[in-house]
Amino acid sequence: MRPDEKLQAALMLIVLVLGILSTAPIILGERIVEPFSELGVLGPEMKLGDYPNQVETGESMDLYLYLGNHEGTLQYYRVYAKQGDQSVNISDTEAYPEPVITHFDYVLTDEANITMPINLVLETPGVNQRIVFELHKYNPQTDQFLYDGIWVQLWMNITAPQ
Amino acid sequence: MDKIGEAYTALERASDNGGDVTALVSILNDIIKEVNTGVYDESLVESQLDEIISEANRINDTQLVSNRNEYIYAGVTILAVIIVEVFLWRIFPRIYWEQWLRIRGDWIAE
Repeated sequence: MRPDEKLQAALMLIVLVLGILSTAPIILGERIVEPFSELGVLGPEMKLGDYPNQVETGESMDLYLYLGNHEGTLQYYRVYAKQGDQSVNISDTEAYPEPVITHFDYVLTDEANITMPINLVLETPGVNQRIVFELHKYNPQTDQFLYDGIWVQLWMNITAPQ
Repeated sequence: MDKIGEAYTALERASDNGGDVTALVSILNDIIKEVNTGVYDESLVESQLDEIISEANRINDTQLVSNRNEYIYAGVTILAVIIVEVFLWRIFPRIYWEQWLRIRGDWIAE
């Protein structure tokens, strides 16, 4: 290869690389490989595992709810708290068909998360009860919250006050 | 409350176009919290949501102009790269040897 050809090839390569580096982020944008949301429930001390397993009806139960957004877009979340038992299984596709105790709403920007204090009051006594927390996402097209298939549960005995 | 959904949709649109809506999202979360307590001034909340929608639309419009400018910049850059590459391919060898001759043209091979 002649010296002018070597220099020509090097210059052409440098120009091409600079062009790609400066335009690729604009043209390609940010790609989300696998969008997902996070849901977690923490105990009163903000730790995993220190949940109460024995509560009285009407008693206030303090917990923390953790939400994380990695969907690549803004998300409007609703977490339903429901009380049930072992008789009905929880599904990843259908919402748990038991009564809603309460719900918690939060809007999160992409790559943001929140740990917020929540308060639950259970009114129905029972042994081996599960409190199911279900994540739903707002769909602007239908103006409804749709079940995202993400859930967590706490097992507990709920007793009536003596 | 339907207007919360409307405000969220406006924020989502602005955010999807690259606008920074963090401060407005924080205000919306405060409103949602207040509405969920069941005790709130409906007209005040509605006016706050209107402000969020209006501000989100403004951010969205600004961001759309900014995005358009970025695409123009990308287009101009690509065009410039093509022109420079063609220039280097077609004209560079001639310039190189002209310069070589100008600098070393008086050399004598022995």
